Amino acid sequence: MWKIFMVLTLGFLIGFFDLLKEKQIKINCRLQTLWLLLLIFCMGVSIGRDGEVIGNLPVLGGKALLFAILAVVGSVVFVFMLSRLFLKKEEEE
Amino acid sequence: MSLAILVVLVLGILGGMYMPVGITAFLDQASTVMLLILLFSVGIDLGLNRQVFEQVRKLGFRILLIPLGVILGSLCGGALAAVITQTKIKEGMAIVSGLGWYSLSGILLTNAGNPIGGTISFLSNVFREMITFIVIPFLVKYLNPYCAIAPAGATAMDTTLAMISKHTDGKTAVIAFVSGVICTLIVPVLIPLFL
Repeated sequence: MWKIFMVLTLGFLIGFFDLLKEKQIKINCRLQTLWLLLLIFCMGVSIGRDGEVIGNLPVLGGKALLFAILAVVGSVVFVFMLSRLFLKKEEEE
Repeated sequence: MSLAILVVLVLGILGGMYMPVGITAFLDQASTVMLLILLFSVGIDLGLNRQVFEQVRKLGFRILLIPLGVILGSLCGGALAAVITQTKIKEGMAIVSGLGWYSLSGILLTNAGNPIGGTISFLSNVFREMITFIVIPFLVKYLNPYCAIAPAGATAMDTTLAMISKHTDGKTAVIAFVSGVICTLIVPVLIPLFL
């Protein structure tokens, strides 16, 4: 876990203190897509090689959809309530 | 982009099923290294957004209520889904703690020794991003523009930002971006709370 914070913080500081040139930032942006796709591929492999996971994939997918829907509904309800209570005035200005 | 991710994911799953065990074991291990490289790259992006802190000051601290609503709402939704699917509440909250950041949440659960939860979390955060694309126009039309930011969670700073911006106004887009950055910063702290 600490490794995650370390690399995130290291990257953050590099960005925050402008240590990269414009061009390097663009390269980082493109590489990010590459890393993401490579990571997704590796995660696919993890799913595919685990018999228990792959055997239950339809069930897991269904559960995942339920979690996604309820997380979205919960977020919308909370943001709607909070914005009604505290951000309404700003809208009327 | 969502399509590319799905294609690569399916290729990975097929690879995992049919490639020799030696290679799949290596790729499984490699995912942790890939995650660290990706996070370093994401960290740079986050650091470049110094203006976010300025925006929070300018727009007033009240806009922090939006990421707060996203987090509390997601956790409540996750707890409810856990009850329905007879999962542990804590695990349910871990599953939704990615706030749409699918590349982080799934792998953390998997590495914590829960490949089933990791898979659910990964897929559910991918689905969350897709649902966000679909529901944004309706949320703006029937509720208010702030609600368009809610489903996006951490993705409001990148993948779903264009969609939010298209259906709302400039100010809401800025708030969405700020909310996305704050959610992204919180996710790595939030997930370990429920592991």
